[in-house]
Amino acid sequence: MASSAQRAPAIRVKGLRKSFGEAEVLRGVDVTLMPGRVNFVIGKSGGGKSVLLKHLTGLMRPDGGEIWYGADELWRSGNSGLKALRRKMGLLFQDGALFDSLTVSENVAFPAWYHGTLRPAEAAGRTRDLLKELGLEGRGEARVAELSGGERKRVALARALIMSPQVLFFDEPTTGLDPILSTQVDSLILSVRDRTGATVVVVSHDIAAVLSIADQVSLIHEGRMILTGTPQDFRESSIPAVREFVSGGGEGGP
Amino acid sequence: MPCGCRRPDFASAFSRVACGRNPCLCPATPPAAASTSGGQARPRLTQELSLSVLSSLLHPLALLGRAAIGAVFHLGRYAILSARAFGYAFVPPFRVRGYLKQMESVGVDSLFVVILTGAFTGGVFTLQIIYGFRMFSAESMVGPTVAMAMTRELGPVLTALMVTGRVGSSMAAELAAMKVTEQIDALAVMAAEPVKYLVSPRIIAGIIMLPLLTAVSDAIGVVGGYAVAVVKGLDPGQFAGRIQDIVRMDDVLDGLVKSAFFGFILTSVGCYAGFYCKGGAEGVGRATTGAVVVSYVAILVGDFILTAVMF
Repeated sequence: MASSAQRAPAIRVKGLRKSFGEAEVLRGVDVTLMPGRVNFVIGKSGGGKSVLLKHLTGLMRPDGGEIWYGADELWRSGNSGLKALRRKMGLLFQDGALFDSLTVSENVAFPAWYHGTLRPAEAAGRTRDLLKELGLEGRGEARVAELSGGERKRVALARALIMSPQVLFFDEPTTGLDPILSTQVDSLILSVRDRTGATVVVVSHDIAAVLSIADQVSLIHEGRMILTGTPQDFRESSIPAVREFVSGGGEGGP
Repeated sequence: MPCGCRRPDFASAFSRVACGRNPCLCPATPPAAASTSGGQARPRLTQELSLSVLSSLLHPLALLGRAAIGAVFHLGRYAILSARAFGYAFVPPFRVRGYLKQMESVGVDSLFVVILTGAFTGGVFTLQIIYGFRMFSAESMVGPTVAMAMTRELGPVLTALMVTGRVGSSMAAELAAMKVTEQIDALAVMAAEPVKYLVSPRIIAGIIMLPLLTAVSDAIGVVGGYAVAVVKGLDPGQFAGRIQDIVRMDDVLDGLVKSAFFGFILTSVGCYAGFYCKGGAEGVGRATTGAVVVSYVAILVGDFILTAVMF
């Protein structure tokens, strides 16, 4: 991790603003996410973290500000540039967002099939390997409706990993899971980071995960980033909103 | 000093905002009202009353305006979605399997209901006209009339309405469910093009399959009419004898062109309703109902316009 800290940031967000009607959700968010690290973005519900994630993945267009992936700004090179950047990212949605008309294997192989990046035999082999790694061996022909919550997340992770993304986003990965499964998901995040070297961005309000697996924590509060630092900085911060988060309140002001 | 009068703000549905102009140009503000203080109560009351009357009079217009803006917004977005779907249909790579799957869903799976509808429509139409035609000894015109009605009008329209109920609604529900469960967002994040993957195959399948279903409906309708006519004592030869003389190929082809247009309407409206669905389960329900109602109206209005132009 020491060397990664000296590298150029994977994602740099500058002055990001977004309003929905009268409601100003992002009020000039600035944050730098480092490559090859587990970056947590946390905040209370309605604080703007999911909106920020949608901006980072290009699902929402900002009213103002910039999002840089290395030397490429997300919206400056048109649709083709956006698609090129998206091919380098993977997103694990909160509920998986698996295609329920397809089987587990078809879901996992979908990106490779769609882009034609792998030959069918290669895609099938890689899908098999990923399912095996994620403890889903023998579930390839199952329908999405037959999967449990934990299995859905793992299938979604396999789908996100098949294109070997450079940046992997997780949207509330442990929400709705029991503590054992939550710990498993946390270990999964770490093993993905270690194995692929991908930059991991986790949007969450799971304090336990933040304190145990995060390399960097950014707290978004009322549309602004009020703290970016290590879990240690987070734990020792005197900012009231951060203190409330650490102590489990999560509703304080800065 | 800017004027402090309260004028109706047209953009925000007649809420009142400070005029702020110096000098005030609001027609409802008497020039003396701002400067005199003693005689202010009466002009202000008059001003308030006239504004209130004006607001009440203009309120229906505001509603109409808002509805018009909404309609233009939806029409514009619908046109863009349809144009993109058409455009992507001709951009490689062509995923034939997706198109065939939709053609099966729109065409093959609707065959039974279309056959049933066509047979009974032809039959009941014959029942309705056979007595009247007998009164004028025009039995030989029953067959051509049934064939003409089926090919020009009943076949295309009833097939489109049946397929809308079966397929248009299911397209809206399926895409709406994909939207609310973030599956469409997932496609976008994978750098897949949701319009190309989801909408193009459905619209192209509708345009191709509706004429084929209509042809089946036309033929079955005539057969249904024939069966009823024979049961009602009409000579079989009399029913069929003059069909070829009276019904032209153009009648059949124009009916099929109309049905291709209906195929476009029912699939594109269904896809639009689903693709831009908002809300959870309630949104899915709204999208489905909206798709069916709008498709029905658009098909019937479109039928009138096309019929006026074609025949």
